[in-house]
Amino acid sequence: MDSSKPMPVTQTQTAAANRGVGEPPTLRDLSARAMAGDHGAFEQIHRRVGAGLRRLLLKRSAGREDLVDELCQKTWTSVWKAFTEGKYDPERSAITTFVYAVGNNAWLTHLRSFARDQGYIEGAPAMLGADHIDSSPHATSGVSADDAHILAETIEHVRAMLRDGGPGGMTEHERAVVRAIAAGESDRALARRLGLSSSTVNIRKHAGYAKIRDYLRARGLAADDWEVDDSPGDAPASPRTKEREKSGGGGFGGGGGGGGGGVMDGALAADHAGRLP
Amino acid sequence: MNDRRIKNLVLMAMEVEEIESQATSPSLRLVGEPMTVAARGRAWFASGVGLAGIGLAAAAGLALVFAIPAMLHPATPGKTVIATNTGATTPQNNDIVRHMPIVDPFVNVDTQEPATPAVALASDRVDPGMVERSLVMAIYRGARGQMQCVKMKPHEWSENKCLTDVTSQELKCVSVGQACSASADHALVVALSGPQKSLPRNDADAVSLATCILGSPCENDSKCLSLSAAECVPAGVSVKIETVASSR
Repeated sequence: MDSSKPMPVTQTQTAAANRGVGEPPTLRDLSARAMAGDHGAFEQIHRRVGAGLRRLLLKRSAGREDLVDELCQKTWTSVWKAFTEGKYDPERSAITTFVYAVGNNAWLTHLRSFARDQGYIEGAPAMLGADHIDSSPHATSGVSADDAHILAETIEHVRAMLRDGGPGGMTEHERAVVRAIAAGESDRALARRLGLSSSTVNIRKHAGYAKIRDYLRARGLAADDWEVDDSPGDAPASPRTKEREKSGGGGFGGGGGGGGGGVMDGALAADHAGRLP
Repeated sequence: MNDRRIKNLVLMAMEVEEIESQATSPSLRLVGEPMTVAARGRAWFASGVGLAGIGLAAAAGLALVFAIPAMLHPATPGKTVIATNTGATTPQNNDIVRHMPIVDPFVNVDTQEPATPAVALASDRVDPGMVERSLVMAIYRGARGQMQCVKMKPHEWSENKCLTDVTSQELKCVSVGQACSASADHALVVALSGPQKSLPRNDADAVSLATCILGSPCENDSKCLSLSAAECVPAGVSVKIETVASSR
């Protein structure tokens, strides 16, 4: 396998030969079968991954079941389409990562649509967290498998680095700090918990970020033309996002995350919860 | 690509790991956000309480045979705290009882080895549900202490020793099979011993109990967790907890 490609880190992808008789097939096996048109395999993937995706979307949407139903439907439709059209490449990302990326796109597309409906369109990128949106190095529109693939591949690389340092060579300490900060812990709280100085935590955090950035950049997954001010709240939209704004194209691929509540800021989140049908 | 974007990518990677950890343990996974304090952890054992029926009084005598030595056994240095719910303050939730599936816990759970009775039945007339059993749960937690997944399996301690005699090291070394989470920061190993009917029976029971245990303000203090966990288990059940680093 091309060493520049991330090794999907699906836990279950042990070789079929290593599994005992009667053990459930791995997600990788199921993906291969689904790509060959096996509806049953797709059903199994849906059953195993769908609950986690649904839970994530429920968390982001503050428990809006109706909305989540719709987003899940879009997500799985896109995933099936990607399977049947041969657009999913298991060598580039685990199926879990791919489904997540498609679901994330669906969520962001929804947010964009909501922002437009509410008249937020000019400020939408910032309000929706342009940094999240632009986390995808190649954000494009719609709930497209093509867009999701690039995001999934990027996430897969990051996962590999978080798992064992990966080719980027992140140390265990750097990984722990980067994880904790992403999970919402402050530098100061983390320093207190680890018994370190804040400056040490800060150094490890930035060292970890730098390794991720360099690794992604070396693989063409971190476009330099997207460099933006790091100060919160004023992150400008990427050139592609601006193009979409002009053209009125709905949705944007990639990005997402958003600890706990997703990618909305407080005002939009409140509006979102209160105004959506 | 600035630091904020990288941070978001890290968060997304962590979210994928969370989804994946749930996907890889289809038989035992988290089923939602932690319960409220009022609801936490009472669900699983209530199912057993409601089913004891008229044989409960007679069975309680048998339970005492096992519970009393456990309670009277003096704590020795180097051993983890063992806590037993004496039933004095145990609430019951009969609404939940009606909705809990009745499943043999030693068949339905994610087991790696066949279950064998810990205590031989002296008579066919003894309620099998009151037979003393032991099981071990592993509660996998993320860096923030949040529950990621739970594994549970029956366990028979060597030489049929009771939970009070189980050392901290023994508990830490219990194998629960392959971790159900790839991203867990650490795990709580929870040993339970008590009448079979009172032990967790299925996934939902295990998750409810885990939620209850994690609802205590003890963080990673094993002693504190064990004592708090006594509030989460039904009368006659002993519990002992140790914290171990997750082997990723």
